[in-house]
Amino acid sequence: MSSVTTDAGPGYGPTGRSPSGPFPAGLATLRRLGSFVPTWGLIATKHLELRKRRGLMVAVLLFTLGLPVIILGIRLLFHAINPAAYGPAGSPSVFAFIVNLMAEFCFIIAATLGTSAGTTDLSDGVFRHLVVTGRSRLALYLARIPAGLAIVLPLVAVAFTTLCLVTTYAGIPQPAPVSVNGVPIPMHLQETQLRTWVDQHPHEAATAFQSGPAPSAVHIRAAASRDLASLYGEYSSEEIAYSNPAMNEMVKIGLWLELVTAVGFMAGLGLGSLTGQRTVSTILMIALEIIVTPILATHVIPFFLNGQRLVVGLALDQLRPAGLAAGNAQGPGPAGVLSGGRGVLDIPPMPTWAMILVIVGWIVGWSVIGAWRMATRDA
Amino acid sequence: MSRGGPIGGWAVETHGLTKRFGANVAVNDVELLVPRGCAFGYLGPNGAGKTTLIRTLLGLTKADGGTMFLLGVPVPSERSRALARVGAIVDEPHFHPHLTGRENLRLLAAARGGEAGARIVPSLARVGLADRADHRVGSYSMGMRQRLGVASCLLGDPELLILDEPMNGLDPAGMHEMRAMIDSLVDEGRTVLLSSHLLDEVERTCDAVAIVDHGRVIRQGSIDELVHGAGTLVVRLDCSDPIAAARLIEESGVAAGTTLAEPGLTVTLPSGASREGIADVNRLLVEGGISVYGLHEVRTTLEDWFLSVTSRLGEQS
Repeated sequence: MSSVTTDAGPGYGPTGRSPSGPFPAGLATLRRLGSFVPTWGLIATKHLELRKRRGLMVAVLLFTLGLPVIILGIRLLFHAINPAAYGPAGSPSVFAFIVNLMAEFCFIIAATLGTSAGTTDLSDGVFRHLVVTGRSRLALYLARIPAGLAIVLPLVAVAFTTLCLVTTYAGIPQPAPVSVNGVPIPMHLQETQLRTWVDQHPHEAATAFQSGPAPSAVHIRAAASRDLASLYGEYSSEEIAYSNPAMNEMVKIGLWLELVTAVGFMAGLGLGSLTGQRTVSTILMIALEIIVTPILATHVIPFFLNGQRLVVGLALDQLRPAGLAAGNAQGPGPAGVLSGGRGVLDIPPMPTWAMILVIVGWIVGWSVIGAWRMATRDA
Repeated sequence: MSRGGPIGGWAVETHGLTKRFGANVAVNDVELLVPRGCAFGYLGPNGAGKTTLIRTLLGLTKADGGTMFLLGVPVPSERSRALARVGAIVDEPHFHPHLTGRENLRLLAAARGGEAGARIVPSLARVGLADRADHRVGSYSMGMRQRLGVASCLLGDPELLILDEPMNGLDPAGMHEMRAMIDSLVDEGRTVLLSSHLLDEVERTCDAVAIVDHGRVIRQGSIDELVHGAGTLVVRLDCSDPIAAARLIEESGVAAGTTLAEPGLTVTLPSGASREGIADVNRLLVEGGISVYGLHEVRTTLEDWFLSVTSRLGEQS
């Protein structure tokens, strides 16, 4: 039973101290505190908190900017020392190799940054200080997204730009036309432009794209209208093998790399916020990228095909721009990853809308899970 | 709106507040009323539920029952409005160790918004950390972290400060500084609610206390009222013949009781007796031929009172 003997008049207590006037908080401040929209200051300070983690930043730099700089730097150096034995630093195959490698490691390092962003307030004991300010927990979560992406996306952009510059200006001489079965075809044609070229050069097209006895011009035109995608695929693979991607393809590849990185960060952030454990979350994300995804990419499980397609890595790989050669097909697992990419996809392709749905689902899904956990977690 | 109370409402008001962790009731039907403009101690042994009550008040964990008001504002329904005028340290003050003190405050000021950013420098100066503000918190001592914790509370210019065990880990000089800081905060009209198990510190710092045991508030009120509330005066007597003195006093009826205590006698005066009663005892003994060498009023400390209250409860249970 509680015995309440509280008195509360003026002069309460032995010191006789009396309260002064109120300390009103401005209405604008209160509105901001309750709002789920993170303020610029909140984002900037979270960015500062992440940026000042030296070990993490060294890893982020190494696996984003460091990868292409080291590989290309060594190639540039060797070529400068002995041009006869070592070819130019840039080439279409080196470009594809480095982009595939970057896709792997940018996903992993972005996920690591995401798990850090999602857990450090908890592990350092600062989360409760932040909650006690009255700031919306959702705003605290949402502030982490731009804060983290502002670190990793520019680095990926700089790294990819470096790669493009070296490939373009310190690469092998570019062939004027693409040689398909010995037939020269102009470079960097779009699908419709290839169709026009086939219509205008039916005999050359027949030699380039048809095996066996040469069909008539009518036949090859019919084949082009029936199966243009197949012809374009053949043309593209030859083009990719011997010439650098066109500028617009490079832009697409760069945007694809940024998407891979952003998805890695968002998934890491959501998982980190859910578990509250940085190490566990990071290990899970790495395992997803270098073990689970390559296995599912190369082994069709007939009764689980649609489930396989829900893995974001597969959707991202299928969204890979046409100007980028598939990753080195050395099979699943770390060996495949280290030689550039997780390997050629062996599962039947899914429609573009399905790929986009899976990717958006991962981004939104992990964000909702992370935000929910943050809003309901005991601080 | 909270019920009744003083003008301006209570700083903290809870009714039937309950928080359970499985079968364990950490906060048990707590009725707590903290007046504004004073230092209020929330006292209890370790594991009594002090920190859980504070975490519940601040919305760090959900209550299982009851109602709460901070500065007259209901929580958790209007939590942001209430916490805009509250500063708090729960458990030990933790900060990002790789950031400096100033950067940590920037982080918290950004979360608070408004004018909080402009209060970083004065807050650091007030807690005496201006010189170390640009050093990493990882290099701070426990006392410096406590002070940085107080500085973080001041960012919101709070009307109510809730400090959980603020003296923990502090050396005597640090405790003295913390006491002075709490005094100055209360002198400015702020309310300080501090939880502690250090009775001596609370008695020196606070105007009023609530005693909590097993999650339940068992007493609350001003320290004077609680400790000296029975109105009894206890006198330690040093005389030539304590046994004769005890008999004389009991026969005269001037005291409620006597206890022989080497080398003298302890005399408990009746409830409501004034200090004149001590003179009456002296007069009685001298007139009875007993030499009186000394008479000392025995002051009951908060610790004595706390132990007597908790031991009574222990006997009852």
